[in-house]
Amino acid sequence: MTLKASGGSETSHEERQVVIVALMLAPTLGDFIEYNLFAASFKRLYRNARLIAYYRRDRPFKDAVVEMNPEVDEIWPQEGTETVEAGLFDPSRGDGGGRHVDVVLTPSMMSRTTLPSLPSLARFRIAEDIEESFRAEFTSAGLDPERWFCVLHYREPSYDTRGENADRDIDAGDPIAMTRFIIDTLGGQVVRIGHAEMTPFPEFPGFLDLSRHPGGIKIHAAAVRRARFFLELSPSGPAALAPCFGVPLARCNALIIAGPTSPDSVVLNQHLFGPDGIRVPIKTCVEKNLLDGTVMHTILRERGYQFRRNTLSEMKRIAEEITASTRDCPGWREPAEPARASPSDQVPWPIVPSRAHRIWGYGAAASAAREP
Amino acid sequence: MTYPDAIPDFSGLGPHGVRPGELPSRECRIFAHLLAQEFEPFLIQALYAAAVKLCFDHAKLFAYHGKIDTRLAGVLSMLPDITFTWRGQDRSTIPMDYFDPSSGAALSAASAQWRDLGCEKPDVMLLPSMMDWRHLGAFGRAPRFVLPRDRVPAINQALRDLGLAMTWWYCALAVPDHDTEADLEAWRSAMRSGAEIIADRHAASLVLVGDPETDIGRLPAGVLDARNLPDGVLGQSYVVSRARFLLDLVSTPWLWVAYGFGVPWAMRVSADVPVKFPGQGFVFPADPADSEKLAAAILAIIHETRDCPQWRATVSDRHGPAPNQIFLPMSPGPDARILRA
Repeated sequence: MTLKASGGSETSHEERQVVIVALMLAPTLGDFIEYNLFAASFKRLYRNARLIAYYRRDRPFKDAVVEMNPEVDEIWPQEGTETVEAGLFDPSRGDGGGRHVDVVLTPSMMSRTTLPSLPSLARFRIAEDIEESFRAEFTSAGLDPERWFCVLHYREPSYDTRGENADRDIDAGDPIAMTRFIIDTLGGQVVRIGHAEMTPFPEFPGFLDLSRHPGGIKIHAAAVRRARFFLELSPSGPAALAPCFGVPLARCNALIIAGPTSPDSVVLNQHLFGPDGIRVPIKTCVEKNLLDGTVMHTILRERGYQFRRNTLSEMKRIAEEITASTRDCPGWREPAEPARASPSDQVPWPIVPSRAHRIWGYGAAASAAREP
Repeated sequence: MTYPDAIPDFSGLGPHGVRPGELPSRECRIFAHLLAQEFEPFLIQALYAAAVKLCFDHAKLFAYHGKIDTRLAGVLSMLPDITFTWRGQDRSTIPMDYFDPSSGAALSAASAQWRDLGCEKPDVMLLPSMMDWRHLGAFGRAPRFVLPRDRVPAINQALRDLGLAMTWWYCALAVPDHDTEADLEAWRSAMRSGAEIIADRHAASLVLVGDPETDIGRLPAGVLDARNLPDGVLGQSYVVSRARFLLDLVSTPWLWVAYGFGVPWAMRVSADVPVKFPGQGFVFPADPADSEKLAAAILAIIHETRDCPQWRATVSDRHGPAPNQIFLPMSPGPDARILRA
């Protein structure tokens, strides 16, 4: 190689397109959605960028999620054991290499804990026909399109692809009670989303079950987009849709403190009990980083710590709380594009995690207490 | 048991190496794909990866390379910043799926060490097209080569055997590769001109480093040929590291060796235009046959390096605080200074 002068025909830094390859490598729905949201929002930090989505077609929702990502310019879907190797980006290779890339985002670089630190989050898009399909389902089920509704979801052990998860699965009892509470007491309507094998609910006015809808993730996303809030009763991937549409999220029975991205969202964690049966205060859990998703799993459980579920009354308080904090949304939520931060040509890295939402019982405003 | 004191504190384990307001609480993991097979781009990639690591107070640098020759292996042996090196076969490279940290990853590295080291969860990934040499000057902390100590005595003995004075300065002169497009006759003429100034006027030596296959003709007085020193690239790198400056008349990879050791260099360029190049370097515009300009440039860099009357001591950098961040992408560094007589 011969050194080249920097003047002359070299493209100026401002004009150059930043090529981003996002390795959206996750078999799970929630992670996959979050990687898409991160990558789309990250691209928006640049004045001129191109986003390439690398993902595996190993789950039925993958193409649909990428389709909803408004910032993807090129897709590199992989089937079976196909893969792309690093050599593709080696300019010294004549055998198909030499693809230029400026930024590679690996899954570990697209952490959900950094989403609230991005100056603005991208909004996923919903095709008009999907929106119309959702509206038709909603009205034909007898629900009132002039009144608000929330999306409700939780995890059941019948989710055959991923199987049982004792910490996350709940039966339908509490969700049914919560649905009635929202309709009868809070004056709302409820749309349930989830997988097709979820336990059927009894029919009652103000409730729509989309879990068996053939539209799958797209129709679920359409519902989330118009919801007053998303109520998650146990940890499960579809809740990741809420930040993609700027919809407040209330998480119950949470195992981690992260997930939501907005100040009007709230997390109610499961209660952590020590080996002596004494409850660990949520303040301690937060400040000692006990709820990061790995500490309990890898260290504390074998020392005798255990989670205990939220009670129905606690979940009702959360529902009341988020209903109150979203009182500016009496009907269907009007989709709005968030203000974009001034794009730049460079992004400082790494992005520092932060938290915008409230942790139930933690006290101080979340924005003032960054996540450990 | 009383709460909260009896409960272990995991706050230092913050996700992805960061905790609020400070970076990082655990090492920033950098994964660099050193895929170049040629000497110069490999030098650049290795130095670039090290420069990124030096941006952080606490970082681990993992590097991958395919089958490499002894010159490239020598480069790696001089780079103390690499935490762990993965070696592949031939020109094999890593599937992107190896960076899936989930338990359901479609493709995973066979070695358990891959995950034990946390290679599947990098905080920064460096691919060849990202490691642009123009960026190197933008890093506040320059990467530094370090020669393995146990190799130095033998190299010193070889230099004594060549007749190099141990108590006076010398200049390293980069020899172009034998298959270069450079005008070798013009280069040989320039070497003779350089020898007249450095050897005749300053009683110093001109020590050649570079491709031993290049025909350099008859050696003028004061010129020593170190291209066949023991330990290959290590021996020649040692010559560069102790030189008062490196003189490069055709833009060779040895500039990067000089940069890696913090040794000043002067490079002839064909036009008076800025060159993005890091380190304590100068360019001097001159035609290959313009011996007057070459002489002026040599005198100028001798003046610029007047603080080095003997063999150069190992550079001891005084670093400022680590920024604990980089920019994606990095921007080009400042232009090299133009050496004027």
